[in-house]
Amino acid sequence: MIKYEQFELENGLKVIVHEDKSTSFITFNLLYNVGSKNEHPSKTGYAHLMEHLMFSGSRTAPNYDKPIDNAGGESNAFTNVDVTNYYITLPKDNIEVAFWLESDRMNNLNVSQNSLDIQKKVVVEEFKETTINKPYGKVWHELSKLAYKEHSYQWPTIGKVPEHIEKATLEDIQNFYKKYYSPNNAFLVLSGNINIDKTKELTEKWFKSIPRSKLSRLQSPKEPIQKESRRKVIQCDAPLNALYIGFQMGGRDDKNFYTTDLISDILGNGKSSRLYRNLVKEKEIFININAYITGTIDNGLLIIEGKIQKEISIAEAEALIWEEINTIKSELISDRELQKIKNSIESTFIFSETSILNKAMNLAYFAALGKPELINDETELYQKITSSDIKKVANQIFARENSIILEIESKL
Amino acid sequence: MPVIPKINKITNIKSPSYKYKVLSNNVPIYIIHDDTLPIVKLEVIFSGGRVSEKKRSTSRITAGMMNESTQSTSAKKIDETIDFYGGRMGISSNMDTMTASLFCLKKHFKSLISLFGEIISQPKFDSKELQTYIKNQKQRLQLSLEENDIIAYREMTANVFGKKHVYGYNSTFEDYDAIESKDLQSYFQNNFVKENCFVVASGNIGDDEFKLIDSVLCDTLLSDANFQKPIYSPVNFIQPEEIFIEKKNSVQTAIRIGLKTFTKTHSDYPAFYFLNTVLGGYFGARLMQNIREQKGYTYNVFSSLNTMIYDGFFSIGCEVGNEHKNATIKEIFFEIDKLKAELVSEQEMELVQNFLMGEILKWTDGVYHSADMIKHLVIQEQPISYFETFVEDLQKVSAKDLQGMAQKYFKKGAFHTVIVGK
Repeated sequence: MIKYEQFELENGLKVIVHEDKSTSFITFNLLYNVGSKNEHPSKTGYAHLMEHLMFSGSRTAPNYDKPIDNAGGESNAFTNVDVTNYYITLPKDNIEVAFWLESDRMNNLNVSQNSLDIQKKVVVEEFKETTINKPYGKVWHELSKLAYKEHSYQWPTIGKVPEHIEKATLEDIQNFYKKYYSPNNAFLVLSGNINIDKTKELTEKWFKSIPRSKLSRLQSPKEPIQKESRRKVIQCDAPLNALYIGFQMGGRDDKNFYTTDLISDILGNGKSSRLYRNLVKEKEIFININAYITGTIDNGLLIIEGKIQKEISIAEAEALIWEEINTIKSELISDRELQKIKNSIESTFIFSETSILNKAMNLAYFAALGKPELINDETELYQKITSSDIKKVANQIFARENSIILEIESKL
Repeated sequence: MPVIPKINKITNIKSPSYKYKVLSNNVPIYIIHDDTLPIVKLEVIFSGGRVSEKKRSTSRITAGMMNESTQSTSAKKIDETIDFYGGRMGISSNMDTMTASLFCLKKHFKSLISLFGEIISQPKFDSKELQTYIKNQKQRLQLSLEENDIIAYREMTANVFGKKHVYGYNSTFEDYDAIESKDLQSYFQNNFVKENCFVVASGNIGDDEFKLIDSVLCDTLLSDANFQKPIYSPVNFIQPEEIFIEKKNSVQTAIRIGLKTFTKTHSDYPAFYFLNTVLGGYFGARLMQNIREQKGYTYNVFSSLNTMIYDGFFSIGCEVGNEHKNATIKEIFFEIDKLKAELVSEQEMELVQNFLMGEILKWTDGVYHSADMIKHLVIQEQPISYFETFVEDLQKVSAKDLQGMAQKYFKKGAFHTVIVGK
């Protein structure tokens, strides 16, 4: 059980505090409710480029990193399709440094043409390092395009192409910053050795004077329901063939979200999962195989992915995955297997409590969904799922016409 | 605008606290207890790793195969049991050690520890399973050999320590083909014995948990009264050179620049550790500021100092757009030369000092970090008080010491350079 308290400033900043006295550190986690799904289709990669530029310094902190290093802290950030999340972990006596730096860069960021030019280059190198120069690096671009025809999830967070990032102007970035980087679009979580009173005092001191913005969020178009199976074959400079099968599923507020997640665990989470046990160990079809959900706020995907053994054809590998899918659609799972998945969810939740950073990130994310209580309630939602729920949802999700299939043929 | 907050110095760094005991079979155990969460972590650390190999790659494959069937339980049943209780269990290998670990909820500890005992004492090394394992490992190796940074890392260790040295060799397809079940069995029998291990138990370790650990490890751990530590053969000097491996389809080139250093017990270790941080050990480090933040040539550039029980190495690494390859190498040597020519400013000394104290405070924050710290110190055969000595030594490092280190080790021609790409 993770205990927390919450309050809101007049300017709309929502704040959550989770006190954990077993550590001498505090994580300061600030989430902005903006991700790559809020980008214009011809200007992609901006949310992530913005994240880089947030480290360029601000009015009273010309260098963002030095005060954190001096305070013995550590900071970083990530961007995904839905949100941008910044975090600093530092010794408790220096927590005010985080309040200073984060409030200043929420309101008074310095972005010069020079820092923009440099970060554009850095991000293009990141694009190359993670996407172009990696054997299976193109997969997410292809899968996203295949799965989403209208919705802005059709491009990955890094952007559609490096050229979008190269073309970003200072004005573009300033507009993006003004629009989304404001207290009424942010969720602050303090997790660690700090109490509610101290948090209130410091939050008011540093964030109270920052004005609200008029949020005119760029909304992603809705994705129409997929009517028939989609398939694409691509060639890659990779030594092994690979197969990705995706199934359209609901978003975070869909009633079947947690059941679908459990289904992905049954199939592909851990060495005793069905796909791993049967297709990696027993039949030796794949080198590795995984099943997971993308877990996005809007409609997401359940993905099954694996790299295929040399002598096995992609078609044979695919047929065997469908066999496993048919089993989960036609047979009720045993009590023991269901209990196994639930036990694993319980353990994972308790293990995550060992890290104040994990707790802070999760609380901020659930707060952004408007349901911070999910941090504790989620495990109960999983515990309630029955074997017949699983069979029913498996039959809804695992329809051929609901699938996208990406075959990767080795060119080597 | 409120007044910019004053930064407080970190002064409360203390060695991790623990209890030392000896199990009924004389095996030492370090207990780091904390009852905040209902979690238990048990590790049994066996010395040796690669150093005690008689044949290349046996330590890694022995570890891998100990995660398969035992003499009485199939791998399928083992995997299912671990997952059923939501635990994490397995054997991993390292340059100097092999570690068996179990991490689970307190309520499931009793259900899993007997299986843990079985895994560390009765591996089967089934030849059919071995064949499958090797086939998979070879294909995984083939995957990783498509990545320039991995190739560069492999070349670097091979060049610093020697292609045949235990710390330098890289696993090859031929090594995998040459392994037989009897090699693994003999590696296992020589190393997985109570005379060659210690235990670290952390988390919610009450009396019941301790009794369970004692009884299971006494019942299962094998013994070898004639056990002798392996003999380590030191590295022969290798003339540094520049190696270029062409990969025609690359859009980025991986660069590694490094040299052989020393162990943690060397008197230069604290100052060199500090020097590494200044050059490339954190985001604000000189390499990152110059090559990423001022020039935009790379997403990430770093330097690191790796120490094993008997030796160590220092290396700088990055992946850059092909067109920035030569300019990046020039800048790396520019930063190296600057450390030799100029004293680090007082301001930068203080900043790195403060950053390091924050890092070190983290090493002992919480039971699991503390347990890791203790584990590393025992592996390195250092007293736990080494931790506080190290902190004191770091605080004494001066700008002059750093310049001395740079001049002593960063000599012209001292660096091995590996470039993989185009």
